[in-house]
Amino acid sequence: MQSELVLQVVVNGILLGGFYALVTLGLNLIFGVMDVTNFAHGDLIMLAAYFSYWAAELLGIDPVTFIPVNAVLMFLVGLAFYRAALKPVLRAPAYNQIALTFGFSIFLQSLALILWTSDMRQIEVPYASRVLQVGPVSVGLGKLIAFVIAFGFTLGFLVFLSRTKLGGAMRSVSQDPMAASLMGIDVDRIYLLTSGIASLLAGVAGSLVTLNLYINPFIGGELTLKAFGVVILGGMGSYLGMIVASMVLGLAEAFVGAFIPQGGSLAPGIAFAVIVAVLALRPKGLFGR
Amino acid sequence: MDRNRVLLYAVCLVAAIFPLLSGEYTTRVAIGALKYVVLAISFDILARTGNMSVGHAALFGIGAYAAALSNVYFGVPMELGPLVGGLAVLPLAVALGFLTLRMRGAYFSIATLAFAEAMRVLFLYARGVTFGAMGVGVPPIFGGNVVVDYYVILGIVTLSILLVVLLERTGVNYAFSAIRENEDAASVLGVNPTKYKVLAFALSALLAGAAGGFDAGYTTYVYPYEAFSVAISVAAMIMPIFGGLYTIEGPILGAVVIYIAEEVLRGWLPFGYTLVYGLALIVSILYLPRGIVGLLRGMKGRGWIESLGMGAGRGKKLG
Repeated sequence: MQSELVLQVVVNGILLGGFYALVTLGLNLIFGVMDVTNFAHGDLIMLAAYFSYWAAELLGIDPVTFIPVNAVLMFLVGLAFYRAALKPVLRAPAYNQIALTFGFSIFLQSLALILWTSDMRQIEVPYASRVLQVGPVSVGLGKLIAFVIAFGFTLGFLVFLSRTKLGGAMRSVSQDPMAASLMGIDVDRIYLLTSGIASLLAGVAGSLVTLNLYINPFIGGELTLKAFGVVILGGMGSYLGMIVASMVLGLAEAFVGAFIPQGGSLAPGIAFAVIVAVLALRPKGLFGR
Repeated sequence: MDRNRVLLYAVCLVAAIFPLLSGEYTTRVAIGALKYVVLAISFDILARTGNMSVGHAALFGIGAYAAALSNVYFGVPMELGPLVGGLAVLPLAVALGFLTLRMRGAYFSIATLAFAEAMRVLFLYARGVTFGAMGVGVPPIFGGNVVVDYYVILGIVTLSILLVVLLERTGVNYAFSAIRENEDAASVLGVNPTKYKVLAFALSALLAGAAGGFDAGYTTYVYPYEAFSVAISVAAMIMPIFGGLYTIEGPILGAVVIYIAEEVLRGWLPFGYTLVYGLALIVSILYLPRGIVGLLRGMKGRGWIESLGMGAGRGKKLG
């Protein structure tokens, strides 16, 4: 009985971890390529979640069907975000980057409050609440879909990064912007596209949020925090580390949620514990460069 | 006597007799503003070392809870709240500082953001000790006399200002600035960056905790959602930046201006009046070189990004 419960919790944790990998991907990408820590990352996901909510509420479009449209919309948001929030502080000290991106975090939150108030909102997706029984383990269909799409996009992006010409340009800019520009790469254009792609990935994550969870204008803060937890544990800029760390965080949350009374409410505390423990013991993370 | 000195004495005089001239409502607004002046100065002291706290509400909230819970469990009078609040946060700040301030760049800010979230969650969770979401009720500080409350918070503001003056007079501020501008150079010149950064964070926490300890007795109630609210972290960050960092008058000016603007706006825009916060922060970073103070002093120029970026490099190589 106990081992079946543990198996169930492990499955839940892995499903959650796959979703966290996608949540973190955009943050890690902007950090890796531009060397900017984006405190508004979770708020981009929140914005995309509301796009998905609007599409469902006003046009009756299913959140999964809406993903391609949301991705394009958020790609455009990402281009604007680069011009407004990232480009002005590219060569600036960290505290200017933090203050400016944090300013945009508050701006997006307030905008969402004005447009949608602070009410909790949810899209009714009948199939998402169905439960599949696989042997002793039961799996929510919505969570499974979120995991498959999130992991698909994460792996797809890593293939894009390692196999395409644009991906190669992004990697070379992340290693040395000066050398890349001497090789004829338009660094500013790569930064612009990087921001667009990071935001596109946030758009997919936002669509998946509406599949399973309630949304309100403040969900971005907690998503940003979890993404930071993953990035610090995995090592800033490392993608292998990111995938391992998101699984660790997902499993830790699932185990605390299952075995500590009301442990589900402690999730942000786990991210904090992870961040402080890593900074104290292994500042570069598990797979830090 | 020059004009600045006359202005200074005039402001001090008005602050000293303000509650005698105004009604209860305006005195309450003034108390609210002065509370944020303490938080703004607290943020600024830490910012002088080039570090940004994105979770100042954690320090404020722990101070408020320390004052309230010590009253409930040990009968410590709420009049000692500011002291209890400040001293309770101090060791936590030193511990967190030693763990997270060794690294440069965004690590410390990320840790403060996480700290604030974790504290709210913890105080909600540990219901047996903290009374959870219900919050803690305490007796009012000095019997709830608004005029006395005003002088208590004015006293805390005065001590905060004296602390900054002391930092500037003793040259500790030079070490702070040196670390902010170029940490490697500072450390070559014999300044231990971690030591000074932890000192700045500890002093910052002392003031924020004192503000929280005062707030507990002033409002007579401490809730986790209020005491650890993101709005407090946001205000503590934006007010000094908007007013002008690394100056004595900047955080004071920024706190007063933004607090009053918020009081007015809250009536028109019940949801999203915080939009102004976001815009104030964005505009300050991009266009106001040294906040309002810079504008008043006529130090317009290339923007504080460039002016501070000089010599500081990118300052955020993390690996």
